[in-house]
Amino acid sequence: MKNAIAAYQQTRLMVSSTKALERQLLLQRSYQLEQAVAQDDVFVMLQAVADQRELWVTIRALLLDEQHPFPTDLRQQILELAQVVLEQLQLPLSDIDVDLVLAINYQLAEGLAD
Amino acid sequence: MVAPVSTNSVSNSPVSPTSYQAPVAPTNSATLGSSSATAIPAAPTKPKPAVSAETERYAAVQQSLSNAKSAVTSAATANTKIDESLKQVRDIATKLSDDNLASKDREKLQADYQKLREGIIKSQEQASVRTGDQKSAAQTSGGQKNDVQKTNLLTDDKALTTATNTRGGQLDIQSSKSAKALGLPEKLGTAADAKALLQGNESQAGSLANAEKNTRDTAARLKKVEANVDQKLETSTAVAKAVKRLDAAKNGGVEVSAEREQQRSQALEKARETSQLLKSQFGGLSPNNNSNSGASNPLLALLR
Repeated sequence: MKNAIAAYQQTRLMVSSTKALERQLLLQRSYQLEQAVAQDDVFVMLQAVADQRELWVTIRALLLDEQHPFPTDLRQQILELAQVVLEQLQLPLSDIDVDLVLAINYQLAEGLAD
Repeated sequence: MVAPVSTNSVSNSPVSPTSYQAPVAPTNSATLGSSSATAIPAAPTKPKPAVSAETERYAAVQQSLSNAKSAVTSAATANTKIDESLKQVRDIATKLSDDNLASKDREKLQADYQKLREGIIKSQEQASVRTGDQKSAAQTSGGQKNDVQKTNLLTDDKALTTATNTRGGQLDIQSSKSAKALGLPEKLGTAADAKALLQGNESQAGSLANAEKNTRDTAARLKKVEANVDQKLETSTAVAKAVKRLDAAKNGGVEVSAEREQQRSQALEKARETSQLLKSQFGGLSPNNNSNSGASNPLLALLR
């Protein structure tokens, strides 16, 4: 029984740290995008947008996995958000709704907070 | 359609063609009165469409190309991961080809190999993206609807056809048609199995050299395709934007921006809901929460 409790605690810690790292990643990429907007440098902005795209393509790929443990509704919602963000990220730089992308990032990060 | 002009209350006095003033349609119901001799009954007005069929066609092309880009990006990301796994497979197979390897070590390496092979299969599967909701220009104008379908440019049997313009132009993006796990054997039970895997040449299906060549070719092909799709997407985005602006100008620019604002609000609302739902979940976005290492967790691999 003690072993089971210890194993549960270990798993809980691991999961908790995965969520925390994912949250950190979202916040890191959001900060990068904010800084890029503030710098007003087209190359920095292009890099930040490409990094956002990489992040959201990866999130989408993970959530497309039918074995993903999330409920279908939640998976679908995140996939729809990914679609909204990726649509924004393929627009010309001047047309991207950065505030919308950041708001979605922050909401997702908030959801991952313990 | 021309609105019928009310004539019953017009005076009988002849009207000089030069002094005649065309009746003006009232803009406010308060101005409508029974005594108004020049009032025109308001014709039933149809609300102007926010976007024209032309805009929709250009948007469909843009969407189709964006979907293609997603498919190519996903395939390229998965292919890079597969390439990294193959390097590790070579390393393990080399160790396994040692005839004098202790059976305990062999078992451990065998397990590592199987894990890598499963990882390759997983990466292949993760290259799937939904592309079936794309509407080609012809389909949009014909009012037909596509079924939702997935595209996997690593393993599909057929190419992905993408609309490139509104005149029916298409681009076929070939799939690598790779076999499951690139044909790598399920087990490397003996040193001889490992040697066979290492010694097979590039044209020999199931050999490591063949898998590596397949991955290299895929990377090169996807790079070219991505450049091509990017170029076409840039053009189509510019054209779609211009047509949309023209549409917005025709409609006073109000309806399009209102529609966009509505979509934005919906997205934000969805993000808030998702945030709440996520809080109730035990795990994070990565399906395998038992691993926090970047090598096996593609999301955490992005952390710097």
